Amino acid sequence: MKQMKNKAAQIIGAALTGILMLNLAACGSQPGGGASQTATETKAETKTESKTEGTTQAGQTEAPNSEAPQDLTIWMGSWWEDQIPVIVETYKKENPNVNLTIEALPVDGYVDKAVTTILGGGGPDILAVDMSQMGTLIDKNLLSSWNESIGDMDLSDFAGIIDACKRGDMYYGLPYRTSASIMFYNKTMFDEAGVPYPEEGWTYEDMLEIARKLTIPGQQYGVGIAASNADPSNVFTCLTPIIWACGADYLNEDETECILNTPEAIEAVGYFTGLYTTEKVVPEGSINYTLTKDVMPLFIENKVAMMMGGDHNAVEFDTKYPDLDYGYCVPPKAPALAGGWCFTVPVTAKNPEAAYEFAKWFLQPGVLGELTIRIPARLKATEYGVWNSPLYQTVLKSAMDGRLSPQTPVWTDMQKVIIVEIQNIMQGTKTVEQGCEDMTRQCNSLLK
Amino acid sequence: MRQFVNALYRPSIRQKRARTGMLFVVPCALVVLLMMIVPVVRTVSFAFSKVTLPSFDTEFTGLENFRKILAMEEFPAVIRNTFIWVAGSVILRVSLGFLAAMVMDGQGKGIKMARLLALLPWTVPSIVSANSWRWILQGDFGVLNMVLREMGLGSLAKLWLGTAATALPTVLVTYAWAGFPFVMMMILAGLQGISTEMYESSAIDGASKIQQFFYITLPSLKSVIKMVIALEIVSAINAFDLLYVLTGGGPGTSSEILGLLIYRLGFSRFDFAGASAASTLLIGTALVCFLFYAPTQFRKKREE
Amino acid sequence: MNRRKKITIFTVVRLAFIGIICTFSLFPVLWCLSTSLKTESEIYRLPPSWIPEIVTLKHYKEILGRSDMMHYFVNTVILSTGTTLITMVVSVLAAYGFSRYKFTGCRCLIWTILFARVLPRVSVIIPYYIILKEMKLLNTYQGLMLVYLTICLPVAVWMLKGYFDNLPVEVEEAAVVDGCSPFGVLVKIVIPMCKPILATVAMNAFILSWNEFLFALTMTDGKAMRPIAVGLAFFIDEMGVHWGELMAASMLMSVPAVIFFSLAQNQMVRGLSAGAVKG
Repeated sequence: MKQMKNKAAQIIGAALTGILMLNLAACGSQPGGGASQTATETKAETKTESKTEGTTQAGQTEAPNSEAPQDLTIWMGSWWEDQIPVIVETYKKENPNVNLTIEALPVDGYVDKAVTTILGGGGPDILAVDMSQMGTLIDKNLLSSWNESIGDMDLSDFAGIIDACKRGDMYYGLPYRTSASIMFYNKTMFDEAGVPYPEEGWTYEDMLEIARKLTIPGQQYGVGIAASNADPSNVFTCLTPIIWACGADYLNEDETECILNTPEAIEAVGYFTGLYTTEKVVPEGSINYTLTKDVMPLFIENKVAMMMGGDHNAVEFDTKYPDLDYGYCVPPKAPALAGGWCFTVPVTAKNPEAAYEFAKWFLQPGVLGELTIRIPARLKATEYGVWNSPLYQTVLKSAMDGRLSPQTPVWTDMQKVIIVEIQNIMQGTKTVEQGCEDMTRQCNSLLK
Repeated sequence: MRQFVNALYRPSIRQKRARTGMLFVVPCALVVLLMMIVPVVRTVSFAFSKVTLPSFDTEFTGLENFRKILAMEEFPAVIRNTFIWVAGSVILRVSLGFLAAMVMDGQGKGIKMARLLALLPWTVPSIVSANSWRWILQGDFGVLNMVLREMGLGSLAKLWLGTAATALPTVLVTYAWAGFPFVMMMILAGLQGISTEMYESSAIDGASKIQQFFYITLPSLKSVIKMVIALEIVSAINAFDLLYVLTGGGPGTSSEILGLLIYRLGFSRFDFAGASAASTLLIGTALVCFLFYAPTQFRKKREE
Repeated sequence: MNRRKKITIFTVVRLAFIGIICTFSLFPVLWCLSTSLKTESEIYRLPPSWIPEIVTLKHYKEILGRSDMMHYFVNTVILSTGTTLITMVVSVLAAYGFSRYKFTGCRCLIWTILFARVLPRVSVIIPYYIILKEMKLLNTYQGLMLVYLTICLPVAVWMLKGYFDNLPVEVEEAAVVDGCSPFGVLVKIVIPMCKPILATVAMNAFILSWNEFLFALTMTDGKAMRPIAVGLAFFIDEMGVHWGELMAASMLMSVPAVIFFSLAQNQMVRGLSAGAVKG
C-alpha cells in the first residue's frame, strides 16, 4: 500500500515537475530554480554520508579536519538573529567539521512550522521550545529522549524549569534560558500621585491599594492585565501568581483533577476579575488585551502604572523609549511563575549525535554565560557575561525558586477554557462561582 | 471503464470534442487533484480514527472523535458564530464591492485614481492589517475611538473588540475591508462585458437610469454575482486569521468560529483526529451547501 | 433642463459614495503610513496624531539598507510573477475547456476544484509538505509556486468560466468553420474579449502569492528562498511589535503591488464589440 502510494506520488510528481519546468522555461527561466534543486540533492547526499560516518565514529570527540562535514540545523526565536553569527563562529572554531546552521524564525507560525516539518519527516536537529509547549510535544511523541547523552552532566544548578523537560525519569530537553515575571512600575505616574514605589515583600492587597490611588477613570489606570485568548501565555503571566498567592492551584498534586472550584481559587479568580468588574483599576478594554500589544504601549505612555513583564521588556524600554522613567521589583508576595526555553531534539533529527554535542557545549556555564542574550538557565553561568546586573539578579532570584505552570499535555486546552470563563465573568454573563465551576468541569473532562 | 477506452479509440465527433475539452482541463485538474487527494483522504480517515503521532498510525474508532467535538461546551456557539461569520462576510463584502463597482465604473483619470485607492486594502499583508486593526480598534485609547471623541461623537466610542455584542460584527467589518476590492474588480469586469448598445437603445426608448439599472445592469450581472457569492462563501469558511489576532475568539466564545476551532485543535493541541473530525463536519456542511447551490447553476445552463 | 438637474444629483450621490468608500479603504492605510514616518517615542503617543511631529525616514532607510530584505523582495517578485503567469495559462485553458466542452464528469470536476478551497489549512499543510518533500521541491521557487497554484487555480478557473459562459459562441463557431483550431480560437478570439476578467484574475493570483505567509514560512528554510511576507513577521517578536519597521516595510512592499494594480486596471475596458454578449 505504502509502496504503491509512493510510486503514484513519484509518477504524478514527475509529471508535475515537467509541467512546472515547462511553464518556468516559458516565462523566462530563473537561475535559482534549477540550481537550488541540484543543491538540495547534493545536500541530501552529503547528509547520508555524514550519517554513516557519524555512526561508525560515535564516541570520538576530536575528529580530524579531513572528515566529511556534518550538518547541524538549529531553530530559535527571531530575537536571536543578531547573536547567531557569534554563536556559529565560536562553535565552528572548536568544531570545524560541523556545518552549523542556526535559523531564526518568527514567533508567528513558529510552532506551526516546527510541527508540520517534524510530522512531515523534516525539521531541525535542535528545536528551541518555549517551556509551556513541552508537555504537549512530549505527549505527542515528537521529541527524542536525552537520557543517554546527558548521563555524565551535572544538572544540579539548572533552574527549576528543567522539570518541564522531564517525564518520569526521562529528559526530553535541557533549558538554556529561564525567566520569571517582574513587576514594572511607571515612576512618573507614582511620583505625580505621590505614591511610594512598591517594595519587596508587598502583597496583592498592597497592589490593589496602590492601583486604586493611581486610577483616574478614562485617563489612567493603576495596573494592566491581559485577558485575551489571542495570547494566552500573557494572561497566565498575570493570573497564575494571584492563584498561587491565594494558596490555590490549577490542578491537584498528581495532575489528575482540576481544583479551580475550591474557595481559595474562587477568591483568586474573584480578585483577578474584580480588578476589572468592581475595582475598575485596569483599562476598560482589558478583556481583550495582551501585555505586549496593548498594555505595554499604555505603560510607555504613562497610562498604566504597573505591569507584569520580563527582562526582555527592560531591554526594549532602554533602547527605544529613553523618556520612560520606570522601575521594577519582584511581584507581590507569591511563588513566582517561572518560564523559559529549552533545547529539544525532534524525533526526525537527522544528526542527533551532533545535536546533543552542541547542546552540551552551549550549556557549559562559561559558554552559556558569554553567548546567551537572555537570562541563562544555569546558576553557574551567571558568573560570566552581563548576568550579575541588578535587573537580571532580580529576575533570577524569583526564577531560581519559581514554580512551573501545570505540565499536563492538556494544559494548552485548559488555558483556553480558563480564559473563556474568565472573560465570561469579566463581561458579567457569569458569576465568579459559576465561572469557576464551569471551568473546573470542562478542565476535568479534558483531563479524562 | 471499457466504455471510456472504446470512446478513446473510436471517436465520434462528440467524443472528439470531449477529448479536446479534457486536454484543456488536464493541467489544472492534475495540479488541484494531486494536491487535494492526499489531504482529503487523510482528513476523512483521521476523522474516524485514533491517531498516534509522530507517524500518524491510525486505529479505527468510529464516531468517537465526532462525539468528542459535539460534546464541547462551546460547540453550539461556534456553529452559530460560523453561520453569522459566513453570511455576514458574504453580505458585507458583496454589497460593498457591488456598490463600489457601481460608482467607480468608468474611464476617467479621477475614477481610475479612486479605484486604485479603493484597491489599497487588498495590497496590505494580513499580518500588517490584522495588527493595525487591532491597534486602531483598541478600547481605551485606540485610534478609532480617539477620532470619534475628537469629532464630538464620544458616545459612539465602544470597546469594539471587548464586548460580546460588537466583537464579531467589528471583525466582520475589517474582513470586509480586506476583501471588498476583489468583489469590486469582479463586478467591474462583469460590467465591461455589458454591451453599450443596450443602454443606448434603451435610452432612446426613454428608459431612466434607474430602469436601466434594474432591467439591463442587474440581470447581466446575475451570473457574476452568483459566482462571487460562491467564491466568498468558500473563502470565508476558513478565514480565521483576523479573528485570531483581533479577538482570539473572545470575549467568552462570542467570536469563535469553526475554522479557528480546527486550527486550535490542530496546532495548539496537535489533536489531528479531532481537527479532522471538525474539518469533516465543515467539509460536509460545505458539500450540502454546494448540493443546494449547484442545481440552480445547472438549471440556468439548461435554459440557455 | 430637468434632465441635467437629475444628472447632477446622480453625480453628487456617486461622488459621496466614492468618498465614503475611499475613506474606509484608506483609514488604516494612512495610519500605517503615518506610523512608518514617526520616531519610536512618538509611535505610541496619546492622543494619537495623524501627522508626525518629527517626520523621519529612519525606518525606510533601515529597511532599504538591509540586504536580506532586498533579497526577500526579489524572491517575492519571482514567486508572484511566476505564480501569476502559470495561473493565467492553466486557468484560461481549464476554464475554456469547462465552458465550451462537455465530457464525462465535467460538472463534478469543476465543483471538486472549487472544493479544494474549503479544506482547512490544518488538513492541507502537512500533506503539502510531504508532497513537496517527495518531489524534492522543498525550499524551491517551483515548490512554493505549486502550493500557490493550488490556492489560486480554483478561484481563477471559476472566475473565468463564469465569464466565458456569457460570451457568444457564434463568433467562435464561425472561426472553427474557417479552419481555426480550438486553441487558435481561444488565443485569437476569446482572450482579446476577456481583458477585464483576465486582469482581475491576474490581480488575485498576484496578491495571493505576494502576501502569503504560513506556507512560505513552512516550505522554505533559511534566507535563500524566503519571501518578504515572512520577512515582515520578524518585526513582531517577544518584545512586541516593531511598528516603525513593520509599517515601513509593508508600505515599501505594497508599492510594486500598487503599480501592478494600476497597470492591470487599465485593462478594465469595454473590450467587446457591440452586441457581443447575450443579454
